[in-house]
Amino acid sequence: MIQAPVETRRIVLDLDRCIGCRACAAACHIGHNNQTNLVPGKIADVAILPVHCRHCEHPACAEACPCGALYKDASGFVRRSEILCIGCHGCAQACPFGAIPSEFVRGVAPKCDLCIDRVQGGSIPRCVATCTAGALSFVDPEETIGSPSYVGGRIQSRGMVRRP
Amino acid sequence: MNQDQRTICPFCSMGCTLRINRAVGAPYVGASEIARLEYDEEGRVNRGSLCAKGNMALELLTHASRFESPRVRGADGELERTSWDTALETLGTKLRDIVARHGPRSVGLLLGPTLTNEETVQAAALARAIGTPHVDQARPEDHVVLEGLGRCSARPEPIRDVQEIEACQAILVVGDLFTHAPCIAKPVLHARYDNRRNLLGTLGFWKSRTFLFGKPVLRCLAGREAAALTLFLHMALEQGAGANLPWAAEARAMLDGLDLAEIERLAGLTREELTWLGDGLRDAESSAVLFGCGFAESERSDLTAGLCALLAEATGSRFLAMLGGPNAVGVRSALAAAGFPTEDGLRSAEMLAAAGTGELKALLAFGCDPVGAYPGNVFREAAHELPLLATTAPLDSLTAAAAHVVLPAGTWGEKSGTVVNAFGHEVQMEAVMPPPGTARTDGAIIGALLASLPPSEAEPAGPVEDPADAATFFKELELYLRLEARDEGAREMGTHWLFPEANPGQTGDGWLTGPLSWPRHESPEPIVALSPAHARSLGVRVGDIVRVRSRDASANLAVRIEERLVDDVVLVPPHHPEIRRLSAWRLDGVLRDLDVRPERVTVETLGEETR
Ligand code: SF4
Ligand code: SF4
Ligand code: SF4
Repeated sequence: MIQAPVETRRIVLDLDRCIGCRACAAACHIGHNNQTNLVPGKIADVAILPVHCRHCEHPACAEACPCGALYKDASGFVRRSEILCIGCHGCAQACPFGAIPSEFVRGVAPKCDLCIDRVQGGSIPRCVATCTAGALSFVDPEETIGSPSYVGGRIQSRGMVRRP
Repeated sequence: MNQDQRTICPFCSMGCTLRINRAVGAPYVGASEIARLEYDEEGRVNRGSLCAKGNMALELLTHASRFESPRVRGADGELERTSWDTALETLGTKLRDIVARHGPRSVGLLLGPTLTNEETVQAAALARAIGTPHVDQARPEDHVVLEGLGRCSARPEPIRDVQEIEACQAILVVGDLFTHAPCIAKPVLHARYDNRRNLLGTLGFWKSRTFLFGKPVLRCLAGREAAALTLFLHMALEQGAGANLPWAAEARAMLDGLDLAEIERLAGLTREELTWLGDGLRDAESSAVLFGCGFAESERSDLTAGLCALLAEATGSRFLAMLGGPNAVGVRSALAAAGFPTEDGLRSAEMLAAAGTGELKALLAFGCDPVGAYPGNVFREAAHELPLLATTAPLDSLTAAAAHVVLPAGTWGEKSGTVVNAFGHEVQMEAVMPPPGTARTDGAIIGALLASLPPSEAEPAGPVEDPADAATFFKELELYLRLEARDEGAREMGTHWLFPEANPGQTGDGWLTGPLSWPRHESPEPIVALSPAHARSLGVRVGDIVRVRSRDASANLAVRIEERLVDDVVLVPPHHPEIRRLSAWRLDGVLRDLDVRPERVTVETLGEETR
C-alpha cells in the first residue's frame, strides 16, 4: 500500500464503525502523561465519537492564543508549547470543532500532537493503533472522500439501524 | 538497552496481546518510569487493538496501593508488615489449628480468574493436601455461564480465530459484547461492512454499544434474552434444523408444551421479528452466534448462554462465549482435570454463604477479592467473623482489609504461565517485570504453603466431566419461562431494573479494573442514568439527586439522562461501593452459585430541602 507522506496524513474516523469504547482516549491519556486530548463527542442517542484535532491549514486555535503557545510546526502539525500556554481557554473556545477539551490538566490546554514521538519514528498515532473497531486510520483525508463510511450514513440517519 | 516483550492483557477472556518495552538494567523506580506499552500489530486475536482496560494495564503494575510486603493482623486488629517467614508461619499455624479442631472440610479455597493453569494445578494440590473438597473459581458471572454451557449439552463448532468471524455472512450477538470485550468489534464489523453487506443481529434491551450496530436490531425486554432465544430455537427446530442432534427430541417436547404467545409477551419480541435473522443464520454459508452478556445483564445468564450454544448447533453456526476472567476457561478445566469440583465440594458462592453460617472456618482467596467482587453486604459481614481469612493480593482490596494474613502477589506481567482465552488458545503469559518489593507470584506462595503441609495420602481423583444434562437444562428453562417462577423472581420490591452500566473501562464485577484510574476518569461520580421519560415523570433534571432503593440498601445518586435507555431500566456504574451495595446476592440452588440476575429498585425524588 502506498502511503501518503506524513505531512498530509491526518487521523480520520470511520463514523459507521466507531463503537464509542473510548480506547482511543485511554491510549491518548497514557501516552500523554495522563492528559486526554480527545474530547468525547456525543451525538444524541446514536454515538459517542472521539473528536480529533484536524490540524487545520489556518488554525483558529492558534489565532486565538494570546501568547503564541499554539503554532504550526515544520510538518504542518498544530502543536502546543506547554511552557508558553497560560491556560486561558481561548483556544478551546475558538476551535470550530471543539477539539480542545475544556478540562485542562496541569493548567494547560490539552492538544493533540498526532503522537509526534511515534509518528516521527514511522509509526502511527496511539489512538489509531489501539482502535478496537478499526474505525480510525492515519491517512491523507483526500483519499477518503467519497467513501460512504466517512460521510456518516449512520449519524445522518439518526435511527437505530445504520446504513443497510 | 531496551527490551520488548509480548504478554497478554489480563482484563477479559479475549486475551489480546500487547508489548511492553522496557529499559533493561535500569534501577527499579516503578514500572511507568522504565516501561512503555506498545501495540502488537501481529497479535493473533486483536492485531494491535487494545480497549480502554488494556491500555491501562501498566497502571496495575505501578498502582499506589500495591502490596510490597506480607501483612499479618496483630492483636490490636491492625494489619502489620512482617517478613515472609512470619506470615507463612502464622498462616500455616492457624490453618493447621483450624484443621485439627474443625476438620479439613472447614477450609475453602477460592481461585481468581488471573491464576494461570499451572497455579490452578498447584492450588488443587494444596486443597488435596489440606484434605478439603472446597475449591472453586471465584468469579460468579463466568462460573454461571460456563455452568449453563456445560449443562445444555450443545457442542457447536467453536470459533478458533477472528478470521472465522470476519468470514461470516450472518452473526447474532447476544448481550453488550462490544462493551465487555471491545476488541472483538474489529472482526465483527469487518464481517458486517467489508466486502459484502452482511447480517449482524444484535439481541439486547437498550441501545448499547453493540446494539447500535444491529441489522436487524432485536430489542427484547430488559434481561429477557433467554425468552427471545427460546423463540429462536423453537423457530429453528420447527424448520427442521438440527433434527438429529441428541438433545433435539428433548427440546421439542419442552418447546411444544409452551404457549408461544406467552413467550413472545415475555420476551417483548414476536417471532416475525426474528425470522429474517433466523433464516440468515440457517442459510448463510458461514454464520456465528456470539454470547457476550456481562455481569447481571441477563435475568439468567446460564440459560442465555446455553440457548446461544443450542441455537448455534441447530443452525450450524459457529459459537463463541466471551467471559470476563482472562483465564476463566483455563482455571475451570485445570480444576476439572484435577478432579474438582467434587460432588460434595462447595462452590464459590456456597463457600461464602457457609462462611456466614460458621460452617466454614477458614477461607483462602488466591488472586481474587470475594468481599469486593460479590455484590451486596452478606459476605462483607461474614468476612470479619471468619476465624481465618487469608488472601494473596496484588492490590489493596476489601478482602485484604478484612483478612488476617495478606500475602503480596505478583499479577499479570509479573508472572509466567499459560492461560486459555475465549478462543481456546493456550497462550503463554510472560513476566515482563519483577513483582514489586518482596511480592511473590501466586504459584510461589501456593508452593510455599504446600511445602509446609504434610504430603497428602489421598489419591488424586479422575477428571470431572462437564455435567451435560439436557433434561435438567430444559426443565430449568421451562420453569423460568413459566410465569409463576418468574414472578417469584420478581418478588422483590421495585419497579425498575438496576443494571450495572457497562463502562468499557472495567470488567463486569470491577475487581482488578476497579482500582484503575480510567473507570473513575470516565464515571467519577456515583450516578444513576434514567431514560428521558423516566426523568420527566419524576420531574428531575441532570444533576438532581434521587434515592435509589433496593431490597437491602438505598443510595442517593445524581441523575444523568441517557437517551439510549428504555423506561423500566436504570443504569449505574458498578465500581462505586455505595452502588454495589444496592445489589443483594442469593444462592441459586440449581446453579449452586450466585444468582446474578439484575436487582429490582425504586427511584424516588428527595424532598426539595435535601436537593
Ligand atoms: S484545535 Fe481545532 S482549530 Fe486548532 S488545529 Fe485542531 S481542529 Fe483546528
Ligand atoms: S477506539 Fe475506535 S471504536 Fe473506540 S471510541 Fe475510539 S475511534 Fe471509536
Ligand atoms: S478486549 Fe479484553 S483482552 Fe482485549 S484489551 Fe480489552 S480487556 Fe484486554
